[in-house]
This record gives sequence, C-alpha cells and structure tokens, in this order.
Amino acid sequence: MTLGLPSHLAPQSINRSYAKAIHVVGFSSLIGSLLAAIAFQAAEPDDVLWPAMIAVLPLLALLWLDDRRRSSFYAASYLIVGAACVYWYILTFYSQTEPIVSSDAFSIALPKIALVMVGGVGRGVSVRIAWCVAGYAAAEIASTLAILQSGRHYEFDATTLLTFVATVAILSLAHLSRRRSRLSQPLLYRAARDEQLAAMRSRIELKAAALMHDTVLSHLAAIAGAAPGTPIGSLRDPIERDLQILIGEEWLSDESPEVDSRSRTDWQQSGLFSAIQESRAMGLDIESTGDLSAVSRLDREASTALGLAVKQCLVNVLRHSGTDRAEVAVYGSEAEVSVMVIDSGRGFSEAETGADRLGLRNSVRRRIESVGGAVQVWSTPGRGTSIMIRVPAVRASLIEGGS
Amino acid sequence: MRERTRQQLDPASTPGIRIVTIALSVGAFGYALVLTALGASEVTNPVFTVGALVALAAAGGILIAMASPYRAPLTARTHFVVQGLALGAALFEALGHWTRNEWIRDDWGAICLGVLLVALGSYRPAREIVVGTTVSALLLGFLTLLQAPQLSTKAPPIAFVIVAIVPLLSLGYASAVFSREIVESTARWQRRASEASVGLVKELRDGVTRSVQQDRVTILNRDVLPFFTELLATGTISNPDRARARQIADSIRRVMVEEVDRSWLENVIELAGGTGPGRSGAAKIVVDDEDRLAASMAADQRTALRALLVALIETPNFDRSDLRISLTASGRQCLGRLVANLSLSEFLLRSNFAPYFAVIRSVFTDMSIDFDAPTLTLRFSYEHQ
Repeated sequence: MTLGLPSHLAPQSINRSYAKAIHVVGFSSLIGSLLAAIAFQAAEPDDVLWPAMIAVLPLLALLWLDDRRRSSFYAASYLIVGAACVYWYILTFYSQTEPIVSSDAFSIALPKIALVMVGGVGRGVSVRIAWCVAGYAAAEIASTLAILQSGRHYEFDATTLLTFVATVAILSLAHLSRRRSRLSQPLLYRAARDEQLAAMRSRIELKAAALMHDTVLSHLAAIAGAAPGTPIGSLRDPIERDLQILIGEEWLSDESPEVDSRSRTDWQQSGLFSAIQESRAMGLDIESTGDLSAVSRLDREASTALGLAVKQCLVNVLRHSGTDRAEVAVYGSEAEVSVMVIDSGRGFSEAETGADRLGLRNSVRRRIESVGGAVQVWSTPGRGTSIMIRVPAVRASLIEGGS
Repeated sequence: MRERTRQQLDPASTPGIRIVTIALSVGAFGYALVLTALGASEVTNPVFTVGALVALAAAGGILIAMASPYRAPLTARTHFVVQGLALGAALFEALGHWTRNEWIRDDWGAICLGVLLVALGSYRPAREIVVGTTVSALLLGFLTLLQAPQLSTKAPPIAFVIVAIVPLLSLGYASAVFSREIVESTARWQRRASEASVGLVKELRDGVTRSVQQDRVTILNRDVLPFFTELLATGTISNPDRARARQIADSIRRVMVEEVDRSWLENVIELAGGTGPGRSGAAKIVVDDEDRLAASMAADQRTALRALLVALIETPNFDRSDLRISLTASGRQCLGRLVANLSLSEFLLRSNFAPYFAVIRSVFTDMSIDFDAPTLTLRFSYEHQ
C-alpha cells in the first residue's frame, strides 16, 4: 500500500521526527563547542578553558535524556541547567586575558544554538515553537549575563538569532504544508478498504459462478441434450447433490490458501483423478499420460481448481469437439504442475465461441488464475484443440515442514 | 523497486512538502545573496563569486523542479547533481574571496549546502544523506584549512574548520535522522493499518458471502429448484422439459456472462454514482474497456484510481454527464486515459487533486496530466499482470 500516514496520526509521528532531527542539530552544536574549546586550549596552553569543556557535558547528558524520554520535565531541566552551563561556557571564554570571542563568535554561539534546539514535547506546532522561544530566551539571558559579568563589551549575536528564526520558519511552513494532504487522506483510506472488499466479493462471486456452472448449468445441459422420454436415471443423484450443496452454505467459504497449502493431495484423492473418472463415466475415452504423481505437489485449493478446470475442458470435448477421445498429459516441475488436455476434434476459433465462452473463461481460465495459474488455448477449426493449464506447486521445503 | 523515502512511502503528502522545499531553496539563495552583498569588499575574483551564486541558484532550481509531484520520485541522480552544484558553489565562493577572506562565519557555502540537504530529507533515504553530508564536510573542512592562514583573526585552524562544518554536519545529519524517523513511522503505521484492514475484511466476509449466496439462491428458487423437483418426481425427461432446461440455462448464463463481464471499474462507477446530498442519480460515465484490461490492474493501482474517481464524482463543479475512461492494450502495456470536465481553475485543480495525482503517479509506470479548462485528461499506463 502506498497511502502513507493517515491524517490523524501524521502530526504525532511527524512531530516526533522533527524533535529527533532538531536534537541532532543540538548534539552537533554541543560536540562542536566542546571541540572548539579543546582546539583553543591546545593553541593557547596558558588559557584556562577546561571549565568550558566541563560545562558542555551536563548539556550533552540532559539533551540525551530529553531525546530519549520526551517529557516536559527533561525538556525544562535541559533549559534551566543548560542556561547555567551556557553562562559558564561563555564566561570562561570571555574571562581569558585576551578574549577569544573576537576571534570567532560562532564558537560561542554553538552552545546557545543547542539550547534553542530543545525540541520539547507536546502536539502541535505552536507548542514546539514555544519551546524554541524559551530555549532562545534562556540562551540569550545566560550569555548576556556572562558577558556583563566578565566586564567586556557586549556584542549582539546574530548567528543564534538567525538559527532561531530559521528553525521557527521551517516548523511553521512544514505545518502549513501538511494541510492539503490532510483533505485527501480519508478518501484514500476509504478507497483502499473498498478495494479490499470488492476483491473479496469478486473472489466469492467467482467461486459461486464457477460452481453454478459446473453443477446446475451442466445438468440442465444434460437434460436439454437427452432424448425425449429418457428416464432420469443416472442424473438423479448428481441433481439431488447439487440442490443440497447450493442451498447449504459451506461452498462459498473463502478459505485462506495459507492454511490449505499444508494439506497436499495424492493422486487418488486429487481433483484431477476424479475429473478423469467422472468424464470416463460420461462416455469419454481418456488416455492419461505423463507424471501423474506430480499433482501431489499441489495444495488442496489448487488441486480442486485444477480438477474442476480439467473437468470443464473434458465436458467441452464431449459437447463440442465431435470426438469421444481425449488425452490428459501431466508434467511436473519443481515450480509448477502442467496439465494438457488434447483432442483431435473439430476445434474452434476464438471469435466464434461467443455463445458458450462462459465455460472456458469462467470455469477454466478464471478459476485457474484465481489460484495463481495460467491457461493457454491452441485451437484451429478442423484440427483439434489443446489446452495447457499450469498451476504453481507447493515448494518442497513447505511440504516437508507441513508433513 | 520502491525506495524507503518519505516521498515514495507516502506520496499523498508530497505535494505539500514541496512548499517547504521551495522555501528552503529560495531561503538558502537569499541568505547567500545577502552575505555576498555584505562581504563585497572581500571579493578578489568577482567571476567566481558570481559563478558561486549561479551554481547555488541552479542547485535550488533543479531541486524545486524535480520535487514536483509530477516528476516523482526524486532520484539519487538528482541528489548527486544538486549536491555537486552546491559543493561547487561553496568552492567558487571560497575562490571568489581567496587571499582576502576575513571571517569563516560569514561564508555561506557550507550552510546553504546544509539547507539543501534538509530539503532533500523528504525525498532521499537517510544513508544517502549521511554519505553526502560526510563527504561534503570533509571537502569543505579541507578547503577551510587552506584558507586559515589568510583569515583576519588568530585562532587554531581546527577551530575554523569546526566553525565551517558544524552547521553543515548538523543540518545534514538532522535531515538524515528526519528521513529515517519519518520512513520508519510511516512503514510502522502501514503495517498496522494493513493488519487492521485484513481483520476488518475478514469480519465482513460472512456478510458478503451471505449476500452473494442470496443472489444465487434467488435465481435458483425462482426457476431451477421447482424444475428439478418436478423432474425428480416424474422421473423421465420429456420434450417440454428439454426446452425448459435450455431456456433456464440460457437465462442463467446470460446473467452470469453479464456479471463476469463487468469489471471492478464499472462497479466503482456504479456505486459512486448513487444519489447523495446535492446530486441525483447515476453518473453518465463511459468505461471503454474492450479487452477487459481493468482486471489486470494491481490492488494499489485500483485503489489509487478508485480514490480519484470518487473524489472527482464528489467535486461540486464536476460535470457528471461527461467522464470517459478508456483502456487499450499496446504490447505488454495497458494505456489508460481518463477525460473529465471540471469547471475549476488550473490552480484549484492542481492543489485539490495533487495528492491523488501523486498517489496515481507512484503506482502506475507512467502518468501525465493535461488540463485545458474545463477538460482534464489523465493518461497512465501499467503492465499486464
């Protein structure tokens, strides 16, 4: 599915993603400020910069906690303790004999930027922006006090202000931009659900139609084709069985293939075997060749579908081909089982099959496609018909696992 | 193969994200422009300075263009080109004031590259952004080291490197983390949603089964049941029985052929065309699908198209008497064409329907939209299943 986050859940997860991203900026700034202090110390061994290095550590620890726990308590602690640390860091830099500040104010701005990136908790963009404002205010108050305390000349820090403004702008824009997709989300979700329901319904209808075709329609055709005055005889049982099945409910159960894939069928129990037996009983002379045991590699659903489809092909041979001989050839490979139904009857061309196209399309093609197989038909008027049915086999490992 | 990016996992949100992309690209350029103007006195080689601005503008322009939902998805190649141009801009900027650069903090190259990386976070996977950020930071760090002797202040060179690359690293890694987090939470939600909807469909299955069976039983009760019962009672097949059997079989077959021939697309139209507030009766919508190609659309494709159709039909300005959908085969490809009449401005159409178009684009191989008011033509293609 490609529908993404639903509108009511999106803000929450997007907020969390923003908070994580903002904290990364905070961490990078803190590590940068620590490295800057180390670098200046290394360059000027006479300066006393270790207090600035130590000041960064509580900031790092609290930001880590704020990132993990996501509670107002940790966010507020980060701001309060962090402001003290920023004061300490900046005071250290400003108290050196030759102030390092003038060399590059940006390294002084780094811990302040880290305070702006508090992230904070709570839903909604306004809450997030409020935390940013608090972070900026805390950073500015702490740095101003530190500069005043050191007795140096106060210089406005444009870097932190710019970072603060950019952060607020990005958060607000991202919030506004989400409004539009929000309107389309409910419709997209409704469509996805409707689609699943429609697919299920059409699966069930397909089953119902195929079953109806094999039972009621097939017997109606037998009655229509019988000579007048024929006793109902052999049709009685199947017709009675049809009525029972069709009025009962179990025939439409939409079983999931996962469950069925475990239960394999053997040749004698296979749908293909009974299809051949039944067609022989209807007077067709069938030669079955090839690797008949290959059908044992099919799961029950595929085996049933294959049997019913072959049955329909054989019924078509009886009804339309003008011959009473057919060959059923089975080939098995690791991945699939193929069955070919061949007759040398009168054949047909696709264009002329309008009236009875339902049998081939519905009872054969769609039924096989519904279990992941494929059907190919070769037929030339006057030269017979071959129908190849291929059905995917259950993998060997699955069979071993299931038996 | 779908990449794990926000744009590809949640295409409906991307039309909105593009506004942020535009703002970031324009903002980065504006920042560069202002800093260039303020530092004009340091410029030693104006050709490079202008070249730097041009390269940055090109990077932003390409990013904005490729972020369009109509060109989705934004590929690794676009990322590579945008990042290459932005890196080039940073290099040109440095060359522009070579030997006279006073401050690292008012150089814009690294920061603008970082801002563009933030914009890429919604379109590219985290790992790619991390690699891009790290490589760029190494290059720009080295470039800063080369400039250290000419800077006006005394400080250890490493401090200048920190000042130069910390903004880039923090913006780039923040973007990567955002990309990872948003992808993970979207994927997590999708997993949960699909479990929930499988559950819902299972719950509704019994009801659907009953209703399908009811349809069958209605036909059976009317014709077949009395006929079979009668036949079983008499025991022989007479001439009128044969005629009746043929007639019943024909009527059942007719109904079934009709049902089998009707595609999901026609069902959608039929369902969506029902009456509702402010609209009456079924929509006169033509589905032209001779080869029954609607059946070979994948579930995602059906969902996207279904959502657009429902949204169209529910739009107040939609002309319900004129919507045509045609599906034709061309080799392995199926070509779809949807023509609708909408009295909307192009702006409104693009903004209201952008999420649907984005979703359609993400699930079909090819999609194009043409709006010549009031006629909307949507073309898409997909492969036979």
